[in-house]
Amino acid sequence: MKLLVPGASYLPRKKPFEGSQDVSFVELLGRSNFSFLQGASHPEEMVEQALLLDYAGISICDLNGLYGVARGFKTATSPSFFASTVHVKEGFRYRIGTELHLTELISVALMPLNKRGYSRICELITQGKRGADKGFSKLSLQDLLPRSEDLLCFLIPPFSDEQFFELQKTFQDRLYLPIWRDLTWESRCFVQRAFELEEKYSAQLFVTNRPLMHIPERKPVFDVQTCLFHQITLNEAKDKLIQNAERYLKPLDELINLWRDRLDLLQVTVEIADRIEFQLDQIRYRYPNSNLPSGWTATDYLRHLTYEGLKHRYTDVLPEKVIQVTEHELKIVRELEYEDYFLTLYEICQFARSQGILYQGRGSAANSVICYAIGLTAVDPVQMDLLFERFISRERGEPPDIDIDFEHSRREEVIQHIYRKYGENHAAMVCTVIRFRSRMAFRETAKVFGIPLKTVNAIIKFMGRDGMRRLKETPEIFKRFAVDQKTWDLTMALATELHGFPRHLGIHTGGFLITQNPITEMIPVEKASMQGRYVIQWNKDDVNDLKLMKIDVLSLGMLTALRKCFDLLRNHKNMNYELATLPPEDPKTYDMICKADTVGVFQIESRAQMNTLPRLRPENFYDLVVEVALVRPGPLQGGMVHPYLKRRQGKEKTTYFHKDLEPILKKTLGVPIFQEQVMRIVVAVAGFSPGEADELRRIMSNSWRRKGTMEGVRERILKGMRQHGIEDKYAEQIYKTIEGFGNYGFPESHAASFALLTYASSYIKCHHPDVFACALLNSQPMGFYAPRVLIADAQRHGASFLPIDIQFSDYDYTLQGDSVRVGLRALSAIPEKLLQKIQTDRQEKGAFQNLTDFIHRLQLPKSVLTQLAAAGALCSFEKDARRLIWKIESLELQHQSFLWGQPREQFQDEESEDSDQIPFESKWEATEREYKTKGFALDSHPIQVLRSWLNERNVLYLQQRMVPFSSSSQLKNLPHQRKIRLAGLISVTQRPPTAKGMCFITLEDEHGFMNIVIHPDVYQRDRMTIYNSSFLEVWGVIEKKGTLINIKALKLAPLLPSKIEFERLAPAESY
Amino acid sequence: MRILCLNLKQAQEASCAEVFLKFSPRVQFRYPHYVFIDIESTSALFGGENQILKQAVELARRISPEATGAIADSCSVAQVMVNHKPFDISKPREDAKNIGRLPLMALRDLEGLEPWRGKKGIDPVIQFLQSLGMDWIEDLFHFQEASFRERWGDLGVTLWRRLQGKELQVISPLVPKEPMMGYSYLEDPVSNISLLMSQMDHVLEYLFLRLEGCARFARRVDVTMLCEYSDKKHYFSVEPVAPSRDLELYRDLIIKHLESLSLENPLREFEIYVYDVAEKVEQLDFFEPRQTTEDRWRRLVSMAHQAEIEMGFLQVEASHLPESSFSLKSDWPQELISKDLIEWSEQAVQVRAVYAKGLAESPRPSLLLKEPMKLSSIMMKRLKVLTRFPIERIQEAWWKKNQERDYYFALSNEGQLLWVYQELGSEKYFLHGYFD
Repeated sequence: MKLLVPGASYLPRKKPFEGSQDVSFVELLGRSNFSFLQGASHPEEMVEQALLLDYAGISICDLNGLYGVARGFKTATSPSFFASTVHVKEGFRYRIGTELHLTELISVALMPLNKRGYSRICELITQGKRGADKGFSKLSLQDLLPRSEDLLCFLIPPFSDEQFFELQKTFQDRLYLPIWRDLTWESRCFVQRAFELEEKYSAQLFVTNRPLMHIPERKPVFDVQTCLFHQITLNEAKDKLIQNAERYLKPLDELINLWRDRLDLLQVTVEIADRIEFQLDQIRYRYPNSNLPSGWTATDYLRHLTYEGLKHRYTDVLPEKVIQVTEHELKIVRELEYEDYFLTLYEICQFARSQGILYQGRGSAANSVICYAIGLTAVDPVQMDLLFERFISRERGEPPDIDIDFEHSRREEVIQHIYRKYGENHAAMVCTVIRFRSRMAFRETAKVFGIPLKTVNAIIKFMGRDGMRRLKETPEIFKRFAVDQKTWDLTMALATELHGFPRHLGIHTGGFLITQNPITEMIPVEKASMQGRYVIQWNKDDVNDLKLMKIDVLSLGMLTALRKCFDLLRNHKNMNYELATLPPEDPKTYDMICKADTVGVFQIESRAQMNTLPRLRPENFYDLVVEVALVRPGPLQGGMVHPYLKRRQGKEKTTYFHKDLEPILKKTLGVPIFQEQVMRIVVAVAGFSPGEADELRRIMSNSWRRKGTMEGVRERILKGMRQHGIEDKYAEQIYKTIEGFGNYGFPESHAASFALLTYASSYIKCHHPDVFACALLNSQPMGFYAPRVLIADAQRHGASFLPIDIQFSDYDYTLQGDSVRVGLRALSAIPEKLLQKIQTDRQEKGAFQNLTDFIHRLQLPKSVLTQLAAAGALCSFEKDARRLIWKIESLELQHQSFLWGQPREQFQDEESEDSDQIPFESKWEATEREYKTKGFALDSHPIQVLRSWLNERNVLYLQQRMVPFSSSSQLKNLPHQRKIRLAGLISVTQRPPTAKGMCFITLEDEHGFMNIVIHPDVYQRDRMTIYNSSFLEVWGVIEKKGTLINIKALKLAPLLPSKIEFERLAPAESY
Repeated sequence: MRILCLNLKQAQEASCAEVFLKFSPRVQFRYPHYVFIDIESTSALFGGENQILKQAVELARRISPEATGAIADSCSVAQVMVNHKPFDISKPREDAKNIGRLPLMALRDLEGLEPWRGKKGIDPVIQFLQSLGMDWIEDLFHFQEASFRERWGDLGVTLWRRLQGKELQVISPLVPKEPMMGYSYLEDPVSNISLLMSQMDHVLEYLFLRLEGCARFARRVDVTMLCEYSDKKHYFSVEPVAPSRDLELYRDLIIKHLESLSLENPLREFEIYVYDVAEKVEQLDFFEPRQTTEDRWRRLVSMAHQAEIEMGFLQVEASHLPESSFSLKSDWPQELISKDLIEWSEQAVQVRAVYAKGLAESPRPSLLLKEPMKLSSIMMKRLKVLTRFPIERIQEAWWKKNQERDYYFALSNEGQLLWVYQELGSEKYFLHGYFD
């Protein structure tokens, strides 16, 4: 929807006069939406528009920062291959700067003349931002003037003589006064004033559009932003809004027309731009010198570490191929001078190793033998036939990207080590730009239009996960919310425009930039919302575009669990394993995986993965790599899963759309599964250059970049494929595959790294279920399943569990003999500190004599004691939990008593006279009590307790010729398509966005799991039951595919009857 | 003691007790929505306990339509009954029997004038008892006071006493002292007068019920209204010739005022203040001194409005369009401040730009036509446009009706300096004003 008629605001055209053809112009005060609510165009749009209008150049000069300059630079120097509009123009002057609001309440724009000037700007912005809250700047003229060298200064009107003199004294001929004509009375006054200063003091003037947007049609968006900034509605905004839409990049002839009295002031912009030597690509990034042992160079030391590592990895003689690949890699690394980068990561990993923190590289680093040799990754790229060029390529000239996962519970130690070693001045985290997403864009725009908040909330709720799409697809939706059509149309149009605009900066999950020189010389740094953290003003894409090297310090829960597994195996079973030394290709492990017996296993524990496993039947490590990559949203949306499985099962012949695809897709039976394959396909059959393919990869991995470029990609792919003789319908199919792949597809190397963790966790689960369960429970929260599911699963695999008991339980779950002792951490409602205190006290002073001794020694609050009693943790003192709770409740232990260190409690371990009045506890009540405190009961499953009641109901059902309840153990004996009734406890509910409204529930009874598939119509009807009940009764149909059993639900109902009825049906004596 | 407990269901202000003063001088409100009335000595005046309960509930339902009531010996049991056995009247000295078969959760309401203290009140005790398998209040009658004291100290003793009907809660006579003020936050902000009035009616009726309860009259009513998404405030007052308790009269006067207001944004909150007097007194003379000059002006404007005369204060507005750059207001005008908004936080600054602050300085003609006059091409030829480019371009309110104008200075044949504009995208010119 066009809100302003394009061209309507253009001035009446006049005939060009003589001499005007030679006038050039550079916009020196371009402002983008990285001025956060004070600019209405993306930096890319500003640059593209300047190129389109044939400007001689443009500068991106945002408020109090350099947030958008990298994006503008990329557009001006190397735009996307798939951009549909303008390409690089020779001699186009792209400049950068920033506009600063000083505490003296004047504004100046600064531009660096050279690299020194650039560093000064970075330092100034950092100083202004570091000590200030979000959106504020703490910078005064006194801070600015001593750092004025190598900078151009533009004093923003209104001008005063004093300010002009003060700045001129310092900046001299580097001070300019910008003027503009935007058809407001105010700008007339500014121009008049500037002419006076020019006449009186020879002030240097130049012309600018003072643009807030690249085209006038963006005025409504700008107005909406202004209202958001002021937190007002459009009706109230009045003079806060710009008077007209003139603050945009005007066509040259219009500018000439407007300034025909002073064309020299247009030309002077080019002269100013030519004074500036600095370009962003002059930033010379120096990685910190690694701590080399004396006498070594970085090259030699890396070579030495690599070969030492290889000796360790390959215990026999090094294969010739490995040596060749290693030499090739070392050569490229030396040429590109990346040694210090590898050595820095090596040092960080060495620190982690020294602290016993488990880690593993992921992503493309697994393509490198060097990374494998020095221990950054654990997958052998030679054996896996992975390509180094996918990691580092001379042609691509892009910095390597090494992501390393550390144990999730200990990543902070690694981050603190980096800060300690390199200091805050040399290490900072990369930011993420938080943008307006659908719901936020709609909410904010609607508020600006004055739509009542209650209505806005209702609309947002209606949007759900589908966002604006749902609103667009529902006809006349505005009537439902009682909003008038014009307001609705405008809100929708503007929310759509606002979508993707930057809102503020966030902190990247783990991206670090480490530099040799102070980081503030290179990029401004500002305070992050997390206490004590600072972020640079660029995000990971900007850092990549400027070829800076970052490291990603990420976290993974499974690494914590595996490290704990290895510790337990070493300490209790005398088995010394590491990730790299686990017995490979163990058939028993693969048998377990094929049965989808993978609760708790890394990556393949989800419902979708478990459904695929019996069909894919992994037999070796590469099959696991495929499995990990296959069940991802990318391949799922691209429709690759079923063709692959059919081909794998021999039900479908392997075919290729084109003969050139055969070598690429042979490994995966003609179906693209990995990201690299998609890249190679477009090179092979769409004629992409490697550069274009790489650009495609980056577009696919960035949802914001995808937004505007996918159409260009489509055209390019279809055109390329036509040239290769591929019919359009096949070409479209391949394009859809690529489009679906998006950023949810794994590269092969990444899948291999993950598959290694999958194998390791499967191996331990298969051979040491007690160790696996113990470690996994000690690493919670992580993964898909709650502790009760993990415990029940481990019990089914033969692990035995000992109950929680303060006389024997540590804080963590422990192995005691052949059993797992439940740890005190199971009591999640009690603070960790208090639970640790129980363990420490017992270890220091010995076992507790009796309940009185326990209470006297630990001085725990009464509520904690009650919870311990309810969980059965005090069973050593009293078996009857209810009597114990009744007794503890009479304890006069006040908070003050243990603040003073003198307990006032008069606890006597005697029977109270009223304890006979307490009702008897049934089995169901005991189970309920344990579930409430710990989340599980070791010796009885709730469904097991209910079973006799279910059997009673079965008798009634059979009398009425209705389908009786079955248990999970009976499922395999029942035929396909048999009607069935099930009862169970909900383990996991999933409704993935890719499943087209389907819902999947894993139900659990005392024998195992049951997979319930709920179609959208049933889901919509029974969804309240699903979300409000823990126990479900499911009526449905069995669907069998091979060994895979699903139940298609026809009806769902809450299982449990009212308490009274239940007590009648299942009295305590029955158990 | 016989206690009538009313449950008004929705949170009320303490002042609502004043409404029930007609039933007994001993009335007490308890947050959030309970009113306790001691009817021991007054029930006979209303025809017995049944009648007084009926009348009290009827009156309560004018405040809250869902209101219920019950009568018991103690305040705490009366509260339990109003929630679990509404409209029931417990026989004297049979309170325990009446509540024995209620579930344990009913203990939450065993409060009366003093609610359960502490973060969660009685809940931990209830949960504790339930965790031990007890379900009914009567299960607790077997326990000794000592067991309760041992476990829950004072709370346990209070609970035991309330269960046994041994706690004395006395209701003192009520002296009205709450200001006669009503406030409402509108969940669904409104800009429609009739919808707004339906919300105001509720507040007005409540205030007038209080007046009736306290036997007082309204001299003047002030209304203040706040808009959604802004701090914009509308204010007016109505004052009939003589103090009155006639709700209809005040209602009509308020509607008249509301109709004269232009509501740009929906209203979110309003406040009504009633100036009450003991009895009907003659209105003060208009020329008698009032508090301030502003008050006198306001009163004059208010009087004029009541006589349907258009009158008010001239408020300069920061609007782009000249014709809407001032307005007539009932309230005292505020000074127009047009400059960037500066916010400080620990010596750091944030500037929120007011982009058209220059509007305040822009030249505006001394005589602005109420309706711009269209100029024919012949008339335009007679004028001399003084500038090559527009003096100002105004593109305003694109979300309503797009107003896009280029303003020029022009000289008439007579030498009169005129202010003309051209509509963007058309050839039409309009005369909008004259300069001195």
